[in-house]
Parts: sequence; structure tokens; C-alpha cells
Amino acid sequence: MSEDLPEILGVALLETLYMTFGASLIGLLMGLPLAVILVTTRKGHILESEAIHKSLAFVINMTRSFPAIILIVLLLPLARWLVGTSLGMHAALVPLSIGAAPFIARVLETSLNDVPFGKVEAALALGANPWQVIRKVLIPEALPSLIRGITVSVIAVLGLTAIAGTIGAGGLGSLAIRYGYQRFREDVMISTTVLLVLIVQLTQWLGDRLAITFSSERT
Amino acid sequence: MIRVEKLSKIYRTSLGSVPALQEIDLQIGAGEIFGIAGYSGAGKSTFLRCLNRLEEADSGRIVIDGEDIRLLNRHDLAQARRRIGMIFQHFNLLDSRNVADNIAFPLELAGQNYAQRRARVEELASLVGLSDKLLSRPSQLSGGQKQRVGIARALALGPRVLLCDEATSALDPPTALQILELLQDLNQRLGLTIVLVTHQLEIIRGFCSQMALLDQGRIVERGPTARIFRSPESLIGKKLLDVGQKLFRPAEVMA
Repeated sequence: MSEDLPEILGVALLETLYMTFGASLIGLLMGLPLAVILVTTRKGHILESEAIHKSLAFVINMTRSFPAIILIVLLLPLARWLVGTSLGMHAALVPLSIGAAPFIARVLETSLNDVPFGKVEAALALGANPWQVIRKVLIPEALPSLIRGITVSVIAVLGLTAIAGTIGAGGLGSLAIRYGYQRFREDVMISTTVLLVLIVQLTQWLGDRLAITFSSERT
Repeated sequence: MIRVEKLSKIYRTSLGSVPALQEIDLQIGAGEIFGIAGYSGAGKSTFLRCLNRLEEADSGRIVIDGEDIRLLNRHDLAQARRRIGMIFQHFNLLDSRNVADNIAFPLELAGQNYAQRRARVEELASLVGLSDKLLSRPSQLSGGQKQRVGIARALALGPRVLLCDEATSALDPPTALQILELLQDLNQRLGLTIVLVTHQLEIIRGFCSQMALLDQGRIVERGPTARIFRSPESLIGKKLLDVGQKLFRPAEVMA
């Protein structure tokens, strides 16, 4: 296998990148609207609704209280129904995205909550409707902080893909378990770890750069 | 221009109910600069924020420019707010936009296209003396300049009323004076009706022809500013004006 190592690693790396960024993107598409709903239905906010806020918060907390591996196993039937199989990186996107969404929602909720409410009131006083407040005040004003939150989320999803790898998702996590751990292949263990470290470092660097770009635009 | 009848609001907290406004009756004429003063917590900001329903009153009536504000539905309220400008103590500009886009914000909300907005923004910027700052970011401006942007933004849709919530309280005295002179100028040039809430009595004395004094959610004095400063009728009015005079008397006179 030593000769094949670069090729196997390359395939696993691509699988991991696909799962990480794919699940992050789908998680973001679900998480951002959830975060907006969490913030705007809060007491005193533009779409105040205790019922919606509390039930959404309950569902999010519940989803987040499952240990990752359990949640992934529980969602495998859904993956089989949607993708046709419960194995491989495409199937893994389903539980990964659903696992990531509530986490992303909570992280982005914090960023949106940090926008001073006076700015929202100023927009309302100028005749803004709730949708305009969300699109033109909350999201643009929170943007640098949202980008930092998304960076944290991508790295958390990378961790999830490694867990999913243990039950047939593929990727670097799977490689590390099957070859590195179960077959005592130290070279596989070390190279997968190095690659994971590199992904985290690069993601964080990119996120920081983007956040700085968007906040320095305002100074 | 503004008529308020029996306006009341109660704050309900876990510790009990606190009356914030108690049966406020007030008339503000078109083209006036009307001052509302009182101690902190007297209800003056709450009153102002009830006028454009940033806060909801519990009962009473508010008529602005012939419109019964408290009866409007959500959509009509947003429309009505476009005819009532407001500026704030902490300016509340958007940091994600430059000065021009901040001024254009209400125009954008109202659905105007880029060309319409651009012409209007230049007009407004020259009105408040910021023509050379259009591309600056709010964080690059001084407090006084920020409030000028706030004023230009509030006037963008040509409102007939401007609500000022402690608009000069975060500024140093010379800058505050400049902003007040700008407001006075706008009042005269545009016939703008201005409602000015402040805890600084000397501002009301210098710039408002009519005033009301609030205490614990009630109006305790109302009428021409000159008359109230000369001979306040209420005990709280006497006290407040007395404190004001001691605070702002020149130092050598005090010693």
C-alpha cells in the first residue's frame, strides 16, 4: 500500500473537502435563516413571537444535544431515502448538513444579536419593513462577525466528517481509522493528521482574511 | 401639526407596573421648534418614541399631519414614518455603508432608483454641509459630522416633522451648538416642525419657542419657553429651572 499512499490520500482528501464544504454550505443555507428567525422573533424585536422563538430554540437545542455519532446514525435512513445509499460521501452530506445547521444557527445568532438595536430602530423609523431590516441592516452590519462564525463552523464540520468517516462516509477520517488505527499504519496516521491540520490552518487563514477585508472596508 | 390626546403608557415589569406616560395632552404647531424637558426617567424619550410608534402607547390618540398614527396598520405605519424624520443620541448610522449610502438609505427603502437617489443625496449633503464627505465611512467622521449624516438621512424623504431624541447629548458643547443652529436653519428654510427632547434646559431656552416639562410621565408645565423660564408654575418646574441656572451660571458668579 505504501506505493499507493499518495493516491489514496489524494482521494480521501478530496472526499473530506467535498463533505466539509458541501455540508457547511448546505448547513449555512439552513442555519442562516434559522439564525435570523431566532433573533427577530426574540422579545421586543421586529417579528416578536414567543411561540416561534421558543419552539425553534427547543428543536435546535434538542438536535444539538445528540452526540454527533448518534445523530449521524439516526439520520442514515433519511440519507438512504434521499441519496439512495447510506454509504459514501454523497450520503454523508445529509446527516452532516443536518448536524451542522443548528450549530451554525446558534453561532450566527450571536453575530446578528450583536448588531446594536438602535440601528434597527433607525431603519424602522425611516419606514423599513422587517424584510428590509434583515437584508439591509442585520446581515450587512454583522457581516465580518458572520464570516468569523462561518469559519468556526466549517472547522467544526471538518471534525464531524472525521466522525462520519468511521461509519462509512469515506474521507481522511475513515482512512485514519481503517488503516492508521486498525492496521497500525503509522505513515497513514501521520499523513492524514498533517492534512487535517493543513485544512484547518488554511480555512482559518482564509476566514480571517475575509473578515478583515469586510471590516477594514468600514474604517 | 401634532396633536396628542390622553396618551398613556404603562411599563409592565416583573416587579410591577410603572406608569411611563399619564394622560398626556399636547399640541405642537406647524413650523415650531418644540422642546420637551424633564429629569431622566420622566418619560420624555418614551413620549417621543410613541409619536412614530417605536414604542406603543396603551391608550390615547396621536394625530400627525392629519393622520391618526395609532390606528395605522403595519404597512401604512411604514409609509407614515417616511413623513416623520428622526435623529438619535448615538446617531445609529450603518457602518457597512459610506456617507452617501447612509443618506440614500431611506430613498432605497422607498424604492427609488440609483439616479434619483444620487441627485437627492448630493442635495442633502450640501444642505447639511457634508458634500466633501460622501465617500467617507461613518467611523472616519467626528460626532458632529455623524449627526449631520443622521439629519440628512432623516430629511431624505422630505418629512414635515423631525423628532430629535437627545440628538446633541453625545456631542461637546461647541459641536452641539452647531447642530442646533443647523436644525434652526432647517426649521426656517424648510418650515420643518421639530420636536426636541433633551435633559439640557439651556438648549430649550435657546432654541425652542414652546416647551413642555415632564415629570413621572405627566406634563407639569407647558407653554411659551420665555414664560416658563420667567415664572414656572409647578414645584418641579421651579426646582428643575433652579438647578439648571446654578449649573450653567458662570463660575465667578457662583463663587
